[in-house]
Amino acid sequence: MNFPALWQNRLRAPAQTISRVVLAVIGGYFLSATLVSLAALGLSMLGMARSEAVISSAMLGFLVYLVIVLWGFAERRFRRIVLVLLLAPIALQTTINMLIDTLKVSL
Amino acid sequence: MAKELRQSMSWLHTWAGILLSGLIFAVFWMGTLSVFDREIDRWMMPDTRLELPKQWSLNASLMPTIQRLTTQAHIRQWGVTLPDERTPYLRLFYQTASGEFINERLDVTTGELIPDPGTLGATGFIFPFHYRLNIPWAGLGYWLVGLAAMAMMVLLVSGVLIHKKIFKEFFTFRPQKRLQRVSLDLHNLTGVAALPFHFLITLSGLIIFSSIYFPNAAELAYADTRHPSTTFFAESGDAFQRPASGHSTSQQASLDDMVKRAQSHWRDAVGFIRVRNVGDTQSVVQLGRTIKHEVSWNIDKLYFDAVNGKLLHEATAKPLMGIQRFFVGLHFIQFQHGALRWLYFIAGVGSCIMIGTGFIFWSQARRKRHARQQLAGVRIVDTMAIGSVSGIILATVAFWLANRILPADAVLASAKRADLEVWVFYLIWLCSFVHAALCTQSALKQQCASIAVLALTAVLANGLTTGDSLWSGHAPSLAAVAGMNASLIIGAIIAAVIAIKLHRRQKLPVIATARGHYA
Repeated sequence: MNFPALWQNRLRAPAQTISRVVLAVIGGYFLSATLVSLAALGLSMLGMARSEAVISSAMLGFLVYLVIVLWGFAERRFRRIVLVLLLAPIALQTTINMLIDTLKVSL
Repeated sequence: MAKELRQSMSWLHTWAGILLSGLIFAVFWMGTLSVFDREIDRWMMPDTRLELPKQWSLNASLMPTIQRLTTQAHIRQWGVTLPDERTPYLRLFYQTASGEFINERLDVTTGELIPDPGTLGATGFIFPFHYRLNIPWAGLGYWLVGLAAMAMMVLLVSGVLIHKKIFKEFFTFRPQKRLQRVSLDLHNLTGVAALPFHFLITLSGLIIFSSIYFPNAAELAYADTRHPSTTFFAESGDAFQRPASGHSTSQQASLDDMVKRAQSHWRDAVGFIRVRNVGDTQSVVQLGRTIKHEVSWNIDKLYFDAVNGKLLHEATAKPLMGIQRFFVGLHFIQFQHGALRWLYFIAGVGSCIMIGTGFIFWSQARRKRHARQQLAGVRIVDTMAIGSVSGIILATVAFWLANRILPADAVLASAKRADLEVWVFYLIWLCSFVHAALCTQSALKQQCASIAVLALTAVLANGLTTGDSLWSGHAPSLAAVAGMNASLIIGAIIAAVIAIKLHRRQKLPVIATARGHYA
């Protein structure tokens, strides 16, 4: 059996399952963590006391993570999973790093 | 679409359950026991079965000891948690000049230190195991418990979604049917009956450590400060601090007076006292309000100048912090309410039954098919399930028995008595896995029988080693000690009944053909 056929018949399904688990659990965590950070910053910019913004975003973060994980296992289109659970956290983390650098300058 | 969702959720429920239920069970088992951690402490530490006097003074009972310690060890700060009905002694901590933290117990009546009980007890072993598995390395324990908690919430939601007739199934219990049916009915019954409990106890547990699990939020929101997380904690806790002046003074305002002022200010009792910059002119006394009288774990504090007794600062929680503190209090159950405490315990036992029966159902549904196809799945899962359910229970009971029969001066390979008890726990737990792997068929039965025997022996050993008979202890700890003994006896009876039932089942020829429910 050549590799493309082997991939299609034997390896593709388990590889997708393993990456789905990793993406949902780890990618899902980073997606929720970046969303929590951005929500905390956003709320404090809207005038909420900073500590309050951090606490409320973090509390809601667990429910956000829960929904993301469940979605990661329910969504059938694999490409969409990669997009949301791999690319989105990377993009958000890059934004956060840039924001931190900007905020640190004013220190 | 609904069918597809049910399929994917069923797959998720099965696999998350198989892979993580062992870990989840450990957290729930230890959490359920932690509901009564102080009472277990009284049972495990006979020297602390003390009478709490009606009237006592901090200046008289505490200060001589503090003064002695201050001159001996040059302590920087010290704090005490005041005694209450569940903890009849002062819990004292102090930090020496070298930065080391030391914990002691203080008898309120005599003002003397209570000798080392030679055990970590429930508050020192079972409770920390519940939230960090006692793995000190790199916070791994916290993250594993966090993983277990998230998995629990995923299991709850997926478990609800895969049921078409959840309301009907809630009222279904057929104890006379096959083990597979019985375990599924019991799984659904305990799962649905206490669903709000399972969900809220898990969510509130995560919320307690939200700054561990989402540390980046403070890092970003406080990015323009020098120490983001320190600043966040200071702001959210509304803390007050001031640096030491370096000038020492022997003047000290009366603690009893400050306590009285705080009590009339809050119209509530004081729970703890902490003194920083001990002996310095800039020394600060921090009084914390008790957490006994409401669900929410308040952060109310009053800060006094230790030298002249002037009020420096009052700390309170902001509104959203107040919500967080409500969840924290909901989880920690430090409020006084005997009936609610028992409900928490019963619901916790319900969680444990739900997790255990989930395992049994999985393997009963596949037993025949795996045997026919010569798959190892059932055997492996059975081994893990037995080790992580009956195994950890057996190890805990062995831990209690070791506590009552190890001599006070027991030392082995430089490990002290308290460590030896912990060794017994881990050794028995490890053995239970080996036992389950070697004789998977009869391991559950044998471990249940061992639990029954060890639990009864522990009750006997308590009577023999402390002189407190079965139902009586020193008056103030009577309820705690009798409750622990009664729970051990009831637990032993349940374990014995399960062992006998399993024994009878094994002798019956299997007539019904097993048909996989899902797979």
